[in-house]
Amino acid sequence: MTARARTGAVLVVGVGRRDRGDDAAGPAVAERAMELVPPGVTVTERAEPAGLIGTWAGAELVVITDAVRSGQPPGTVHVLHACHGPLPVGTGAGSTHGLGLAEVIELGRALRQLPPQLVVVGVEARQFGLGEPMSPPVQACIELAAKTVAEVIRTG
Amino acid sequence: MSGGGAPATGGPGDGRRTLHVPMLARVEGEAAMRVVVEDGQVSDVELRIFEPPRFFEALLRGRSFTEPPDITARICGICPVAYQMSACQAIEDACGVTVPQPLADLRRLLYCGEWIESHALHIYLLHAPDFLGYESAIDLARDQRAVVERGLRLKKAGNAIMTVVGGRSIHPVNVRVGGFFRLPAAGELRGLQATLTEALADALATAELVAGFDFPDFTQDCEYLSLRPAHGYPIEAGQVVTSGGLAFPAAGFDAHVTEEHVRHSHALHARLHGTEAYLTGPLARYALNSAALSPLAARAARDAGLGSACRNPFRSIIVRAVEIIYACEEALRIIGSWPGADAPSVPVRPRAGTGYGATEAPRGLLYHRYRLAADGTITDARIVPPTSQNQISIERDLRAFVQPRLRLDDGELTRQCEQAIRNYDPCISCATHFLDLTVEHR
Repeated sequence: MTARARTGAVLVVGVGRRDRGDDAAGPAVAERAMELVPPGVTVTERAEPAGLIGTWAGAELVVITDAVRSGQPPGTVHVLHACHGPLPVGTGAGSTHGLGLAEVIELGRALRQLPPQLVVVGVEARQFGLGEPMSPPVQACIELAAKTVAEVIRTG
Repeated sequence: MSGGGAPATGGPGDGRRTLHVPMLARVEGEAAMRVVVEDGQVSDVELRIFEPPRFFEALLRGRSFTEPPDITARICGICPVAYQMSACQAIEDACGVTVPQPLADLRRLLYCGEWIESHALHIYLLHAPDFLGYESAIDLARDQRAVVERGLRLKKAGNAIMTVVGGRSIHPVNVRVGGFFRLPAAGELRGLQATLTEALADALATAELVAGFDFPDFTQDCEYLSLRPAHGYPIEAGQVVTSGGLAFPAAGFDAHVTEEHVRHSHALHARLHGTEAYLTGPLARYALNSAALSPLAARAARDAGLGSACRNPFRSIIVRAVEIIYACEEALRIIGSWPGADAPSVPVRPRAGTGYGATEAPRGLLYHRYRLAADGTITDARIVPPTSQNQISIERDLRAFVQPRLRLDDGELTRQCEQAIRNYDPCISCATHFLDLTVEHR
């Protein structure tokens, strides 16, 4: 694939809490991606997704890294394009937060405030216990997920 | 016979009916609600919450006295400043330090940012959809885009304060024991004025909006507990007062409030001695301090139909709107009169002793206590968040709320119970928010 010339701002946001086992995957991937993405790309993290709409305002491409659960083996990396329609989320058994990522994306869509390109790089997670470390398979896939973020940015 | 994973079990006419809501949508954290009805009478109401402060209390033991502001800010993604401020106050109390007024003013300003952000999130994205008959803020946004945009503008204004003063909008990194790591430049503070002036107009419009909601006829007599400062409305300081006439400093909290384990919850329930249940948060702050509101906020409260106290928990959404008005005005006042400070922080030297701190998180009083060794090592920590203080009242109110509504089907009753729980803006914190994906295999 060829690199695409960009004129607008590119933002990477790691979503998750570092104290909650595999929920740390989002921030961990964003942190590693910081070393792989071109200069000028803004990398940040958020413990809660509700403020994302304000965070991504003005960006052309936004890549969000987050833990996901779909029943696939832990460590599986998912790439989801959110601009064309809602993410294929379930009934939200795990999304008990004030506003989950999928809800924030749909809120942005309803308000016509989605960035032109919005991609979620998700890491299949397994454990979310308070104070737990990331599980070994999730830890092992951080590098691959970070490279995936860099590739998404490189190719658009 | 408790319900399982289904939204509800049983039904009218079974003699015994159990309503079980495994997860409360739109309340931060992990929670479940269980209502048991036997022979037409509500026999049991339990709000099960998972609360992390116990974990953090253990984590803090053995750490340095400089660490609690940073560590405890991780407890809640919505109110990190509250945790930082109560922690700083308690550690500084233990070390015998009082920060100079300009730094105290900056702390109050930072806290105003958190109030604006948290209250705007709660009003517009969590609670207003209940009152307006929408499933979620997304549906509300589809129909009434300008309303939700106003909420997000307010939230962003709160964020702007937190970014300038706190160094970052979520989990502010600029707070330290003794003050701040760096002072905001005068120009940065002035740069907030236009945003906050617009936010004040949005806050006034918010009070008008919520005053027009339909409120269930539901009033509850309750003991109220909040801070009361020497001047102004309580945010980051003050002594603890109650509607029963008690008044004591944060150091007296342990003597008046005890926490007890209950079977159904990870959280501890707090009891104020001599009362059956008490409430902290907007209703308590307002009832005990409405005379201290600014003239504009007081007028907005009157225009919205509030008296000097409000006993209908559903109308707490109006009090939150009034508190946003006050926080915007207060932020503008502080910015307009801030004289600058000689240094971003004052030295804090550890000493052996115990310190106490209490501040008003958006959802209620947050108490911290730390015991320090002479070298500053934390030997004991106690954190009492507002939700554990309110839990007995929430369950009591739900019992009274559900009884006359038993004719409703499970779905509608569940919806109304969720709305009622949101009256207290419970911060169950520590939530994860991974995506629950559906992967289709073909």
